[in-house]
Amino acid sequence: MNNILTVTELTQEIKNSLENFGKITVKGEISNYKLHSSGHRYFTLKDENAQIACTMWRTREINFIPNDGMQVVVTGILTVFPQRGNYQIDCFSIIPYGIGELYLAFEALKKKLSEKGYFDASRKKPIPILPMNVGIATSPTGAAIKDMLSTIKRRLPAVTIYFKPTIVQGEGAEQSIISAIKELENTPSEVIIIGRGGGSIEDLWAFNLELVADTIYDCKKPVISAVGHETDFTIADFVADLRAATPTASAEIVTPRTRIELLQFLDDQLVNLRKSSFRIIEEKNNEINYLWQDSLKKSIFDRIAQFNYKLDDYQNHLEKTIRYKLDFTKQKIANFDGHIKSLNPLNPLNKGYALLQFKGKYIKSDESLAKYKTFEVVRSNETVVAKLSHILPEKMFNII
Amino acid sequence: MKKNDRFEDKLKRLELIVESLDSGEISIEEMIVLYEEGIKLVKQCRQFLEQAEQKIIEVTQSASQEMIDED
Repeated sequence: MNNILTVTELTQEIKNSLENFGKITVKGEISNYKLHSSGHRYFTLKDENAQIACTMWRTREINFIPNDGMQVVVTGILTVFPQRGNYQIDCFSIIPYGIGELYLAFEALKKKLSEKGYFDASRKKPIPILPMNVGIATSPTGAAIKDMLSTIKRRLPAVTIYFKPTIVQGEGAEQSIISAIKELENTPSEVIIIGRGGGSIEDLWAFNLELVADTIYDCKKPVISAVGHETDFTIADFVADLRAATPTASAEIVTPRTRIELLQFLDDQLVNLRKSSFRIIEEKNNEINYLWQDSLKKSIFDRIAQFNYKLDDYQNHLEKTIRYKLDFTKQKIANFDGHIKSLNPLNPLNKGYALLQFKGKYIKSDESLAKYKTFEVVRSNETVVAKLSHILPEKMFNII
Repeated sequence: MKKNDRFEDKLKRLELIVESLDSGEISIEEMIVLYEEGIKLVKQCRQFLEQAEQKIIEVTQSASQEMIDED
């Protein structure tokens, strides 16, 4: 029993012999495809009678999205995991079966253009935020144009579309796409969409041609590439300023703000306009009120108050003056009264003087009594009638 | 809308007006002028959005432009 091997020894033998196969290329159908969160891909390659596990590490590039049921050609080496006792193909590359040459051409061009800087993010033109003129180059008969037009119409009907019917596959497609881009460049279009619906890699091939890539690269207007489905990648996608997953997606990209959103925006702006203006008016109003209350009003009221004080002063002064005048006049009248009283011609009678009158009429001092035979002598207590006896020759004033 | 007056420019102008009104650092005379311009812009833009129908201009080789309406 000298030939007994341990499991490890056997496995090591198997590993050595399997890994001696070297680089292999195998064709089969993908099943149980899993993209692990680490980025590594695991799947099984099978045909009617057999299957083999495959791994493709994260660092290895795939230019399409593999799916279960897809016929592919993988290139790699056989490896064995001794711990698990299984073997698999460690894949270096995987390409859809039947188009290997196209893929090689694709890869070669991609590498070349990448090296020329065609894909550099720094040279990508920004897509306008609100283009009102959009150029579209696609087939006039496909679903793509219908989807794009209806999407743009639904979202923002105000957009004007410059549509260049374009041959997007088969004979003449290359030249048609090139001239479409050049013609749309001369329209008012602010952004150009080149696209088509999904199809096989052969159908999409025109978008993988170098002259098309050059035209996109040279276009002075931003170009959006919208070729095929989400899983299809073309050279045009890499060169374009933006890749849209589908034609419909490209229509959404060029109408980032819909009509409804824009109308809402305008409504908001209207509200803002009014709010801000009213606020400014209110502020100015407050300023006026402030000026009125704190300065103008105050100063006016101050002046009114001053006038009132003045008026009061005048009134007081006037009243005082009038009162004084009245008092003065009253005093004067009182004085007059005394004086007048003192001037009463009957006053001397009290002192013993008498008044002469004739038949009730005063006889003035310069009048001679000679012409009267009788006259009345009025005294304070009595009135007598006297008879003139004679007139003395001279005046006699004994008492003086 | 004037030919050279792009919708986007009008929206930008409108935003600028609202901004300067909002800053409040303007006289009442300027405010009235800006307010009037803003209202005018809102009206024009609304009208444009509400009335505009999808226009499709087919670009032909001869560069002559043919207009078709799409339903």
